[in-house]
Amino acid sequence: MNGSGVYALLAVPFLLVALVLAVVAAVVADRRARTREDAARRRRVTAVTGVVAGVALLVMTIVFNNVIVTLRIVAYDPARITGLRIGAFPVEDLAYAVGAVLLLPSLWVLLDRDHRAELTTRPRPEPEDPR
Amino acid sequence: MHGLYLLGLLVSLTGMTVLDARFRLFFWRAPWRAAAVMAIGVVFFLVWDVLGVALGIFFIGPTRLLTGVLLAPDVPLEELFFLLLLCYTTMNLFGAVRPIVARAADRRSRS
Repeated sequence: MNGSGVYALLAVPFLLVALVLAVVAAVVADRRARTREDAARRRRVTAVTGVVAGVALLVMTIVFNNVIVTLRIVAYDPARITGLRIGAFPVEDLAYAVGAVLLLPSLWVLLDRDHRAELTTRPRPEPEDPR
Repeated sequence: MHGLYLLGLLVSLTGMTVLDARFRLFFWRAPWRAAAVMAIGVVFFLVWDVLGVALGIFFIGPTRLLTGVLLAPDVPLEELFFLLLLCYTTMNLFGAVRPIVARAADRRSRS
């Protein structure tokens, strides 16, 4: 395989897997919500959290990657990257941060075996036991 | 000079652990679930790395800051700690940001 799009293409299957898991986690979280309003509210909170945390992670990644590429800890074959760079590093590197933001919080939701609706700060009555 | 990158990563991971313990963000909320998320995350990104190396996209540069210990060809020991840091930082961020966003949403819906 060759061509300047190889690094970008490599990200596609990984981001797709992360995206699918994010969608599945969203569906699972919706089902765990007690009411429609609760589900809608959680979805909003999750979306805003994803954007805020995602931007923060991208900023940190941009600083970090500039350091490690400038220190020549990692190097890239110029024939296999698009050549678009943010400072010193290829823009394709950012796919790792995007993948992390999609994948990891989704796993956190999917691996919640208590099925407890988690992390709300609003004081609320004890959930009714459906059994 | 050798090992400086690893040292930097370990210092950063220590910082993440301190923040986690202080604010109960990730391992301090559900240790086994956190461990599972970290394990799956690191494997996911290691596969990505190994394929990137196999396709000749990236490789170890001419640095003297690495320990020289390799997990696989062109995958230094440090990469494991980098991926741990990436995953831990992501989850600490979510753990920290989510309650703030939830509180703001509550305030708005009540006012």
